[in-house]
Amino acid sequence: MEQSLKVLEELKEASSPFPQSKAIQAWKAQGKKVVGWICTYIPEEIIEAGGMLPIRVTGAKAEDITEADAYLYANTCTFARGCLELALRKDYDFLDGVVSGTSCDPIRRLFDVWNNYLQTPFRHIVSVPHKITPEAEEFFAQQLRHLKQELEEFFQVDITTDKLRETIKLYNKSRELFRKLYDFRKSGGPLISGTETMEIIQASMRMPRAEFNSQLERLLAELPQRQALSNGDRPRLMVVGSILDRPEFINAIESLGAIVVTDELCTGTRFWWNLTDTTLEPIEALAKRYLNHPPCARMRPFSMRMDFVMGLINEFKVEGVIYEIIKFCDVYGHDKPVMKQKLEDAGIPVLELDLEYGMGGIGQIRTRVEAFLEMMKVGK
Amino acid sequence: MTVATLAKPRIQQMVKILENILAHRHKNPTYASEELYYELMVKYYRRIMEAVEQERTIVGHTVMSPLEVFYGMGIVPMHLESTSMMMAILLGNYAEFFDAARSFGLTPETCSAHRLLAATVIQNSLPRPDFIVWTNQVCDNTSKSGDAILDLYEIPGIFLDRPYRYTTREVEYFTKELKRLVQFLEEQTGQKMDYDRLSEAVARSQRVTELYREIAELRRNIPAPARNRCFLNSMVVEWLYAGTQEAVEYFELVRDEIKERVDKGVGGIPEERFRILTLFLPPSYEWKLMDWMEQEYGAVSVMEPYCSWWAKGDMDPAKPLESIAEKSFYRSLVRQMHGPSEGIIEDAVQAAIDYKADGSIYFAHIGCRQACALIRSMKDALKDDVGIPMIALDCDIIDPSLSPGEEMRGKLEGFFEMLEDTK
Repeated sequence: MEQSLKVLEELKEASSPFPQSKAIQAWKAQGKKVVGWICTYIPEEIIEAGGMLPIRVTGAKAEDITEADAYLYANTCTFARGCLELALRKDYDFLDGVVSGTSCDPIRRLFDVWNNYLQTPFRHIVSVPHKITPEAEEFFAQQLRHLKQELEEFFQVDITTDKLRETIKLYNKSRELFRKLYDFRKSGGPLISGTETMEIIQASMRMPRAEFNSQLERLLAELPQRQALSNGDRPRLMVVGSILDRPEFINAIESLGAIVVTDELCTGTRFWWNLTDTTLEPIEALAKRYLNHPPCARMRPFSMRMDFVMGLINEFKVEGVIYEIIKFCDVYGHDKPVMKQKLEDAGIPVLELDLEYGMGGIGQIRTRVEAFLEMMKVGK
Repeated sequence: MTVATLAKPRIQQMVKILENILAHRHKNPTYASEELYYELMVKYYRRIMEAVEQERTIVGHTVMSPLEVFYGMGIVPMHLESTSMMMAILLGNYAEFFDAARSFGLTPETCSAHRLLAATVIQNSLPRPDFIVWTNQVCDNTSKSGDAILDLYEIPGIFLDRPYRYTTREVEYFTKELKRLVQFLEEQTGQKMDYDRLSEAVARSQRVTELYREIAELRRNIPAPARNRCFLNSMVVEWLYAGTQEAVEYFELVRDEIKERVDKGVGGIPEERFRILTLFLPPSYEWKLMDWMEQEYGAVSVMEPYCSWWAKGDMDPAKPLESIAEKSFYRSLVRQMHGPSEGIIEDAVQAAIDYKADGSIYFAHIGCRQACALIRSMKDALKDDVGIPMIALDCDIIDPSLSPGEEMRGKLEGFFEMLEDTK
């Protein structure tokens, strides 16, 4: 039985219920604004520098998609439909704005439908390049300047250079803390589980960042006193693929005896991995940081993603990979055959899981993971 | 079997079948433009076959890549999606290809057109290009398909990143992408771009755009002067021949045929009963559905906002790369697919009004996330702003097993009966 972490319980308390957490309610009670963002290519720092609370829009807890099916066709991924479901049920009515990116077809069309049918006061979509070149960074910086200008005009705020520098430091601080958190998973006896790590990262997306940082610092101080979660006997897994923000999913894997030691998810490493350069002009720095963060499968070339995954495997001593794809997620679906082959060529076993974004089919997933762990044991 | 032994006979087979279809068309003439369409198909695939035989440089490219640049470089383009789809249709080996894609690891939810493409590459059925050019026009599948092809063929390639909105900044960015493309092609071929030839290609592309618009104007007439096949054939010709004299001649012929019918006051079909707005693409394996609509119900497609509608914009041969970049923001299909939904919805509403549509058919290709995602928005807009009904017809762009023709006919019968009742 794992020792529970007191600070983690406090974080979970503050960041629940979903989607309008107690922390968000307290923020709104001060008369302050909340702006939702839909993809990790949207810099939270710009929103925060405008005095607004950036929170991540997801479809978590939208198990039964009914209303959204009337607006987005059934071949749209359950993540996009889940987000819309909650919005149509008015669960996101507390938002003062929503900012999306042209990340993938379902996300673009989610924004279109949101824009056509919902009344969130501020709605904006950022054109995100698909490649990383000096021209793309310059173009993306222009896009972010446009976002800044739109936020300033709509909310009647000044997003000053000083304010941007301040929020860049604040968010960099989170990323440094996340790295320390992940470092506790590198040893043969990790001090924190994959499930808990995902809960912590989820909390960061649902509460004011300064408050989150101080809580995470406390948690990191608490961790070394904890007993190791493994004596090196639990298979060390990594989860890669489409958006996954359900700690219950990781828990289902870990409850079978494995331990998830790292991930290549936009709710994990890809969210926090690299820092923003504080020596550059802030918008230019943000454009570089966000475009160059570990790539989503939407980005070219594929080798960048492959290299990042291989780097994580080495750094975290990963023994097996779970490649999960939300049904109808084209970008991760296209990468899967090539990545699977390359991982297997490198001697890393891969379990493919085709999922719905919610927790449907968890029993089947447990059976598949169980078989995979057996296979890993035999292969050792 | 090696690349050379499997790809060559398969492209030869395609050419042979197309020649037979053309010979049949010559014996049983309908419209001259329909015969020319098949002549152009034969010519296109024969040119690829000859390039394989003569070991000439072939550039494999995804849909909506800038053909003018390839013709300007004097290299042979091979439209990857069209070639693999045409191969499956003509050789009838869908099952073999889909099995290969599944074995490779692509999920069945992946767009069937791109599963076919991957399969023809895996099986070495497609002539091996020397390099590929791929873009994010028109969807995630086009933007992702290049990665696997590069890996499987181990050839060089370049990805063109076309931004989202039609603004000066975004056109400038895409122009820079095209400059990189020219540099890439020069490196690959060891030849320099012939800018005079490129400007000529751009001038011909502009002429085709003008003809498209002229044809669109003529099509406002009642009865509708074009047959349903016309828009499909025209779309394919433009996809394969943009920037060439062949394209100009084809569209001039289509224009002349339509104008002649308008002048005579006759329609493309004997008796027009329903004027239909066609949204997105009918299944490639069942274009006969469009013939059946004409014959059985007098249902004629009066405009296709996704496939035939070109927004405002012109090309300037003196600024070839800038013009090609800009074209990708106003041309048909790309503007509608790879841009905000307001564009396609406004176009469709306006077309329904201008072309006096009675109803609309939306082909809901299961593999296409973004086209299907707008079905509700489109249905509401057409109902609220124009007062016309829309049917969403579940289908697949290329996989006949998902929605057989008979099933689609059954659904359309009900729709036409409903239209009849409301007349």
